[in-house]
Amino acid sequence: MKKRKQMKKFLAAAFCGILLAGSLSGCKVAVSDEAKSESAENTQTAKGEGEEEQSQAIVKYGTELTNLNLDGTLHGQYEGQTLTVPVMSGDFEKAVSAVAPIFEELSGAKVVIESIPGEQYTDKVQLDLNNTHKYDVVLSPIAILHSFAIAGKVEPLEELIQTYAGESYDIDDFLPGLFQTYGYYDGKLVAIPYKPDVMLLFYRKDLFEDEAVKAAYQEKYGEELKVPETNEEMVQVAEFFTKSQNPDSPVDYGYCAMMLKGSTRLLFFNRGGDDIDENLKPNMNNGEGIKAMNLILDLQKSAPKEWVQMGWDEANQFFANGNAAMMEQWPGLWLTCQAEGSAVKDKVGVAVAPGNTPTLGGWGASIASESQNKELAWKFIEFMTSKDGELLKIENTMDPCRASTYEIPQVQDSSELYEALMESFNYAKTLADVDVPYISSKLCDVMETYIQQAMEGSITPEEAVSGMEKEFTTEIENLELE
Amino acid sequence: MKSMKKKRILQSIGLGAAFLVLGVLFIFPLYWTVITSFKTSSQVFVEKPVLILDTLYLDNYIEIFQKSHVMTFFKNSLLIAGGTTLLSLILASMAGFGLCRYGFKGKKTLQNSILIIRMIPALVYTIPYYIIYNKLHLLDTLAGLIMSYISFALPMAIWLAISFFLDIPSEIYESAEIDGCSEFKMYTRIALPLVKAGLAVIAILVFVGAWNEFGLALVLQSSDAKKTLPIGIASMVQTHKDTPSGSLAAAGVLAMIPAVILSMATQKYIVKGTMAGAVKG
Repeated sequence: MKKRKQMKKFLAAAFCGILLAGSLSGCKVAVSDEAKSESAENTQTAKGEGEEEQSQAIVKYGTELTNLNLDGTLHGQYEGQTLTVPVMSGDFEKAVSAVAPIFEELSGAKVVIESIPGEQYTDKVQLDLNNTHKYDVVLSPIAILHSFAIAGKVEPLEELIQTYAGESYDIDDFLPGLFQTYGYYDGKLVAIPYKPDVMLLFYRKDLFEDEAVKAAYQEKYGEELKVPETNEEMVQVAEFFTKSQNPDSPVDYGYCAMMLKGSTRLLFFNRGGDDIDENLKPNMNNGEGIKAMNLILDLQKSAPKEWVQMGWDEANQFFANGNAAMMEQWPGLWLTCQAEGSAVKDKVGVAVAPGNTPTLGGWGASIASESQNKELAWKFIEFMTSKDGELLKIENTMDPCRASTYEIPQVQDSSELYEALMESFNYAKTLADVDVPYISSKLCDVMETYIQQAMEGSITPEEAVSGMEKEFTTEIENLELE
Repeated sequence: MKSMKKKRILQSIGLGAAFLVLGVLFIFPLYWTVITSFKTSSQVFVEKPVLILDTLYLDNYIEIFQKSHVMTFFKNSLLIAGGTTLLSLILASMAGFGLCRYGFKGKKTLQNSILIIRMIPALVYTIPYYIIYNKLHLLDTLAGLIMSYISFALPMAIWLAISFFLDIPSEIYESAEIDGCSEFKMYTRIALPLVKAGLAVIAILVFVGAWNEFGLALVLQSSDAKKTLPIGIASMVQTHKDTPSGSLAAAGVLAMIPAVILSMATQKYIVKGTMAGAVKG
């Protein structure tokens, strides 16, 4: 009996083993060419860095970084001091970790970098600013920094700049719109732009340049096919590239975006809708707001039905698989399009989002008001956002915030995004997160809910913007802001 | 007679099919994670999912071992989950033994209050822990996290221990007493060996709970040197950039290993232990 049981056990285990082995059988074990080339690249970079170290000069994008010591204001005088900087894991962590050792060497201070998972980043930073006061520098999305500013959790920067900044630290060199929107809140300078972000239009260059496609468009609409610049042009081009509306379309859909709840308001802003005005009054229940809602409904006809379930990864992959002719997205989509295995590699062009009202995102750097090392914290921010510091962060996907950086030819050549990015910053005014202190995410949720209801058809565009206005008014009044 | 046999065969086939469906439901996500961990980044997001691989690419494992602190997180998780399990077992078995063996005033209230603590969601304690630990300089320490995990694990562990100790007939204690056995020896030499299977159940529940815990570790730990594996894995999920799904799966496979080994090693006791709980009147 016992033997029989053991035999059964053995057979069961063997069956499972055979199943697993079967599924993986005949498998070679290998390292892909992608990984090999990456590893070779890393080795080259390391070697390059070593060489740079030997010659005591760092050269980035053809520019020798001669002012990393910030006009001689960093000379090891912070020996024994420690600076704690929270960063979101991923690219922010890489970018800050890459510059921290250089800063440590020049300043004598120790930089402790604490990486926090993205989804929980703001909560954890807030917890520290309210309780433990361990963090000195605060890197955060702009609307969140503005909330911190009004709560007195971050320090006004003007005086620190006047007292401690190196003489060549040029705040007028930051892209003007960016510096004003990111930096100032309630009349005070509370942040320095660190990572700019703006929604861009990604389009299939190969389709827009295809002679047969162009001829078909000319025949259908009596005008030339071009990358859309206005909202109306975009709706028409999207319709042309949608199989259900044009069976000859080379792709299934004309338009795609991430429309999972949490991202829909971005499309509303891109189409000219607004959230609040400069006096914190709701500003969406007007002609522009209703028009923006109607344009979203028009674009919906040319988008995949499942777009309301598409978050960052799903929507990007949908476009990278070659299913849509156009997509509006943050600059990060570029990496997905150019990745190995992407069906649209080297086939994508980038332009300003049609309508010239792209949503503005981005991160800034501030100093915690309870920091015990404010001077050192400022020097670190100054270091990261100086002209030389900008060149150090670019290769970790932190795009430049300074006009002079964009003017460097090697920087311009380093990314096909930069031209559109620069132009977009001139137009972008509405921040991705509703810029009302304390209740930013609540108000974002309000917008999301109404936009999604209108997309479902359960309310009209007029009802959607009017509903948003009512809820915004109540919530903002309840805040009793001075 | 024939129809009875036919019925029985049909029943067996039906049952077998049901188990097969259930098995696939449980095993497929694990299988999917394992094969995803051996895919290249270009194989992960494809419209027609690849179910069987020709080549097992080690890229993701190389990535997580070379470019992340995954081994540090793994070591920390092992220390924290192991420490929590060991200390919880000692405390819970002592408490369970005491609550079964001795009668005292307020015993019922004490037992019930342990249960009530268990009913409060763990998240409620997070901020108070953060503030208290900050004052005690226990933030970002392994010992601090172990202490908090023990406080969460103990109510359940004690209640389970009570149910296992109650199964021991009082006559055994009486004979030991007559033989001159001290109370401590009664606990270590007589009671503990008899509830070995139950302790295995408690151990695995506490270990898996501590191994997978996320919320408290996120708030209480901050430096990479003290983070646990769930925090490390969550850090791989990117915002506004593609998440490296292959590396995420590789880290997931790594995270499964200790729990799987522990479950396999203690399987015999788990069956006995759960049965012991089930027949208790």
